[in-house]
Amino acid sequence: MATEYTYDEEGDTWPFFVIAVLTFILIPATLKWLTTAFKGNDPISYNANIKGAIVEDAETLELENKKKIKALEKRQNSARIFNKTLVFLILGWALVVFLALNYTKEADLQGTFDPYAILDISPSATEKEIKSKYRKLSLKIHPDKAPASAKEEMEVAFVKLQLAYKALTDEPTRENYLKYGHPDGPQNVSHGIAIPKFLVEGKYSPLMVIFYFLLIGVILPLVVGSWWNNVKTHTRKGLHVDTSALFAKKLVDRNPTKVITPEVILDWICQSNEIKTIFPKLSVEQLRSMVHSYLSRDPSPLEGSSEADVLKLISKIPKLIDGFIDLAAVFRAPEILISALDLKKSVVSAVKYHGRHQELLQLPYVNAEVVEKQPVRKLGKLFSVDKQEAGKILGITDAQKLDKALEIGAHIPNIRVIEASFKVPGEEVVTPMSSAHLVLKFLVKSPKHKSAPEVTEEKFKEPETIEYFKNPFLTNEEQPDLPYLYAPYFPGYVKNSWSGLLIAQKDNKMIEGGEVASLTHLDLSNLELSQEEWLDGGKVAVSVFKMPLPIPTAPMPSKTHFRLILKHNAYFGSDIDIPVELVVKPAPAPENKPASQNEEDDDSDDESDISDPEEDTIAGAMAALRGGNVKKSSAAQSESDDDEDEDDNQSVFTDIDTDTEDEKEK
Amino acid sequence: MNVALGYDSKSKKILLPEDIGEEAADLKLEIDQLNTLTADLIASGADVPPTPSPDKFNKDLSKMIKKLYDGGVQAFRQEKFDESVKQFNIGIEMIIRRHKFEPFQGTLQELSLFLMSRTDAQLKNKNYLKAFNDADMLLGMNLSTPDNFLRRGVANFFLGNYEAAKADYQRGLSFDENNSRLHTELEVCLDKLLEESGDIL
Repeated sequence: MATEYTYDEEGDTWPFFVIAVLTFILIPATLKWLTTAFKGNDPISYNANIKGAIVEDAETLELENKKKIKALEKRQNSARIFNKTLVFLILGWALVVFLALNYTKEADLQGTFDPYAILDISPSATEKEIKSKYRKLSLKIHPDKAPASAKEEMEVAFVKLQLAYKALTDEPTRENYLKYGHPDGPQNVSHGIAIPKFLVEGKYSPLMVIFYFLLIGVILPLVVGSWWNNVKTHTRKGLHVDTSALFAKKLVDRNPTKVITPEVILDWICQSNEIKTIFPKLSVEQLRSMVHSYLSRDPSPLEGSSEADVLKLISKIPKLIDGFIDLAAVFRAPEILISALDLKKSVVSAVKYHGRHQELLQLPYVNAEVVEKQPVRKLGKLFSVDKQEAGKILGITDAQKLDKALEIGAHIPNIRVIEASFKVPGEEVVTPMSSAHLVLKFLVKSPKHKSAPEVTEEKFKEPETIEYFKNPFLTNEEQPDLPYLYAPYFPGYVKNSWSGLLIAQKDNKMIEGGEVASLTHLDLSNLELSQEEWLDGGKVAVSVFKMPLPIPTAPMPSKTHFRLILKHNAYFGSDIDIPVELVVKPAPAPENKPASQNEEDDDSDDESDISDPEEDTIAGAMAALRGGNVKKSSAAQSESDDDEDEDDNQSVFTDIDTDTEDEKEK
Repeated sequence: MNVALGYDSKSKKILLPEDIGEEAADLKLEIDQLNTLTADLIASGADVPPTPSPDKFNKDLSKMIKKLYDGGVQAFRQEKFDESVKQFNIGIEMIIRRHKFEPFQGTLQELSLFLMSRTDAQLKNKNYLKAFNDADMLLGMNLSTPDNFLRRGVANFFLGNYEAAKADYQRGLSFDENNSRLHTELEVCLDKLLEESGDIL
């Protein structure tokens, strides 16, 4: 027994073993296949359930490119459903069914013994109940009463019944039952290997040897090898190592006097390994012109490449840009990150990355030539003129198309910042050497909304629960998921998101250890409000976004200036760029009452003075005053505005001149 | 990449083949820099460049440069901005032509002075792109003073880059919160941004 393995002699155990192993592999694989095959297949119906989402794509907009986009999508979909996994799943489940039907005999449970089942009582039955049940049953199945045909069977059953009764009432038998699971004491248990004996001994044994050899000598090394190869050739973020080496080299070797524009980054991306393996024959220039033709929404075909190729190329770019951003974040140079984010935005929304009319060009049906020749650049301005004028600005003559374009424009979310400040959980002020986070309070608004409603503090009140202290960023996840993007030219579906950068004003670098934060949950329902509802403020949803400050606050009371940039992944006009101040103050001392009260008063005063967005709004309020004045005159003579600015400049120069003279005299 | 480099023993310069393509632009830049440095080292007459100290630079040249600067400022005062830009151009050219192995601690200040003044003259001349380049250069040299942000901001504003102008003013304010010039310009800019998006406060 100890020296020899027992094999499955009767051949009735191995099918169970094989079925068990197979189901262990098959069930997770099936679930995974099902989720990838049927998940997110229909962003339009997904978006229809989200307030403020844009429920349009190339098909509903009847764009010229819809066929090509659909064809690519179909290919991707069918690749997602009909792949190797499906073949494996079908074969696997077929084998399971086959084994279950043909090879599994009913399990022989003779070895097990359950007195309660035999007596047909519950395990909590009292001794009295056991006795009465035993009597009743023994009368019923007593062998003396049985007909001759079933006598033997009855006898066995009767013995079992007696044994069961004994097991529950007789002390030593009961002990045996409790200890070994059987009233007769330990049962013979055998362990073996669930491989049919005929495979191991006999003429089939060479097969088994070959199988073992294949398993250990070929399949295992292959699986491990391919896994390792994948680990070796791709970084954790899924970028090919050659590509990330290229990006890193370009970033390290960059000429500090040259600006890294989206164009430069596009060139680097076109040189990446991922793109080169798909288009080995195309030069960087050709690839670049493919991207440019896509960005200008130019339907005319290109030389040497098909439209399907263009879409294939485009669909690869955002992921590569994400990989690039990860790398570039290490260099903490915000201008590179901004360029990369701009490029991504352009690619997803199929709008050129240079020029000043991107906000209008992102709409469908627009005539780029008309748009670029007129002075209106912002969506907001588009909604302040009447419809006819808007049609002229966009170069759309068809009334229905214009309506649709304006509808989409009205659903491009803008952000109106109410307050941005740093906070330490549980403290009134930001204390020294604490871990603070940035709290951005804002309203989502549509470009058609003018002005802003009064928002009371209560709307932002946050209960200071234990969960909040544990993880203040939980609220970031509490808002609804952002819907899919309106990106009818882009092959594939992407969800809305914003990338957040926190930059130190002093050296214009991203904060040490800071990552690019992402905002993926946001309530967009404000976009559905009418102007009256917007100004009334009753239905206006307020939003809060929090970003961690990766470094502890300064050890001494101080003031640090930051710049917060939020960039949307596809829409133009949805970004913000605001200054934020981090004011570190000593924690108020509780024992010295009058003094601390004074201090607190000071604090609150300071805070209202300092927090930047308020500064913004104060400045804005003054601007409004000025704006009121300007508006009266600007219609009559726009020149005066210019003159005024120039007058301002005059004083700049006298200021600067005196400055420079001082320096000169030194 | 294999390139056949040559050496001209008369001019003591490394030569690149004439037909070298675009892809060797980096190499060309490097060789040019090397040639300039060798030429300057040979011209200095010493085997090794002298040990640098802050005030070891050509003072005579500084006097001439100062004269040019005064001339430029004078022209600026008289609102002859073209003339003033010309003077500053010559001055900057002279600074660039300075001996390459000279310590630049002192001369860098000269350059920043010229750049600041030229920015102002360009702004006055409504040459905003050039003004922007000069101001950008100043900020690139890490001279992050509120005035330099004001200069680049104003240039950005008149180039129509209102968002960039706003960011410049705001960054300038982070160095001097009470700078009234920056505050007024920022207000003008915010006002312009609101007007551009057809919004009201």
